[in-house]
Amino acid sequence: MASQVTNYKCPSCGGPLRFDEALGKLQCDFCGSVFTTAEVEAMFQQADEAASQAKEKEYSAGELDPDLRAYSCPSCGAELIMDATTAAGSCPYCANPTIIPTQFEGEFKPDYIIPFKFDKEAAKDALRKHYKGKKLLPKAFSDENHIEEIKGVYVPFWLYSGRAYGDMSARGTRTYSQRSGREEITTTETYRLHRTGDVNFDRIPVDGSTKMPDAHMDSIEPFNYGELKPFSKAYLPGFMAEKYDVDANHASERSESRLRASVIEALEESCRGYGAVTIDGSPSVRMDVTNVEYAMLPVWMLATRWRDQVFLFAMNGQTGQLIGDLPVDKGRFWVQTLITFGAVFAAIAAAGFFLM
Amino acid sequence: MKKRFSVALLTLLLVLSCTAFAFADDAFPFVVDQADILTMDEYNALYDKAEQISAKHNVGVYIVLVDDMANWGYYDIEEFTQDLFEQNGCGLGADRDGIMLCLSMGGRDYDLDAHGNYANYSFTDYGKEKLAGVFLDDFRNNAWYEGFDDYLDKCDSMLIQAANGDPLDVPGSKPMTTEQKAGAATGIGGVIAAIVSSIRGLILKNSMKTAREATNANRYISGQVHFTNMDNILIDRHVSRRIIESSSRSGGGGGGTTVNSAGHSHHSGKF
Repeated sequence: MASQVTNYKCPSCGGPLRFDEALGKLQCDFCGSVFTTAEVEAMFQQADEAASQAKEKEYSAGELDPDLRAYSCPSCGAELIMDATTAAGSCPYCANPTIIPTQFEGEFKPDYIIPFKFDKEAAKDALRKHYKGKKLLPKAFSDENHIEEIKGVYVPFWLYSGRAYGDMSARGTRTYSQRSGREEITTTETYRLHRTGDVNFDRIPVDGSTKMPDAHMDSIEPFNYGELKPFSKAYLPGFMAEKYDVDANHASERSESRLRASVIEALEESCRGYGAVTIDGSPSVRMDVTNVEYAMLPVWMLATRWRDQVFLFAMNGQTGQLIGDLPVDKGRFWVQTLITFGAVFAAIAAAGFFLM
Repeated sequence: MKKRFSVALLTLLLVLSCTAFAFADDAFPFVVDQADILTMDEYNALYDKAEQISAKHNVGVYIVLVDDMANWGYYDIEEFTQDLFEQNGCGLGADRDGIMLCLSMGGRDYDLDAHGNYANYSFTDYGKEKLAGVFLDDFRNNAWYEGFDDYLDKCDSMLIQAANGDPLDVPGSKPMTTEQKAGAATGIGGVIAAIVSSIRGLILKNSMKTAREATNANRYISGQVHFTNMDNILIDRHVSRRIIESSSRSGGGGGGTTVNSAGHSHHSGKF
């Protein structure tokens, strides 16, 4: 039975092809042959079409979780059980990169992709530096951390562009004083302020995956859109990829709330020259979206479980911006606090005694 | 600019205007009532007391009442009092120590002027502020004799205190004992250390959590905001007026006496 999965293999030796960040091309793990993304697209176009038409393996009701999908690896025949949103990964048995072409068809076909620029070694180095100097990090945590398990993931994002319109009413006061003889005369003027304006916005990103925490995705912004490329599956080998499970309509709420804050801030800033400005009621902001693009953006990620909690790290695969939450060792916290207390107390008390 | 009459001439006029009093010598009288506020009995009682206190401490204690310093071309009560003191050779001893309370009834201005090392030591900035406190309430109720009597009593007690090496000054301005220093250093050190260590703990804790949701989209705004309306309409104007009082140079938080280049220290205001 034809498989719904495509393996991108080297035509020279059959080894797995992976996208090399430094070269910007695909390279064979075994023989080192290098191919452009366009060459790989052309080479595997037929295989992708066959995979798209292959029937999905049927399971009896209850045999497979409805959020999972089953595929068979075309290289080794192993059964691959993946999330319904997984679009690319690797076979855990033969390590061949696997692409699921149907996850990129129709409404799920991305418009753009930003290829990875930082490789796995750079991501691991960045993570080690992130741990360094963290005095409250439990020793056991960093010892157990499986840095090698860091994964490159193409995260689905919606990019919103358009024009925003704002309307704000406020009151501003001006106060000035002058002296006349022995009298000080203070004048306070109150103004009604009204501001309306509009502004363009360009590609506000909102991630389209419920698996990706918004705080982490926001914190690794911005991406350099100058390096957006038309989407090609040839960039995916060696990385994981997810298709969106939050559509553009639902995801737009986040972009609207961020844009609203920016427009109101701009209207408030225009009220200069007043000592105090108080906004009347609630300013209105209307977002007129003229273009929505679907892009796959690169993120290095590592999820670590420690004492029943999951700590997630994310690094922008294009710029290297790294963020992550780390656990706090309470014992180390109190030790550091007491050391600081002791040192400051000794210094201040001694200085105070001799200076008094 | 108004011509100022010589304050020495003023003295002559003041002395001549004082009724039924003969000086033993040419010294400036301890009480002068040019404004004719006090009765003769009140004047005599105050004079005797002032003379007694002055002799006891070898510091001249003076009271001067004029109807309006502007009559002599003065508009600053401190300048008027100081000139009065200087040009009439007030004060006792080599250093001409003395304290003078001068009232100008026209503008209800008063000044306490101390001169001489010992007088400035005895009457600190804080001390003069406290001294004014004993008579201002009386003067506001036009109880002149009572106010001056309280002034003289307070001068006497302040001079006694100064003679004991402890002039009336800001609390805490005196040197601390070793035990007091140790206690204060421990208390201050403990409080500052607790604040600093708490802040450092919070900073270290916050550094462990770096993921935060974005609150705006500023970096995705392209170009400038195009404003279609920028109305600013005046809807209210409110005017208030306040009388500016003369400055009262009182004691600073650190204690001591602020002395000018002529050796005088002042505390003035309205009564």
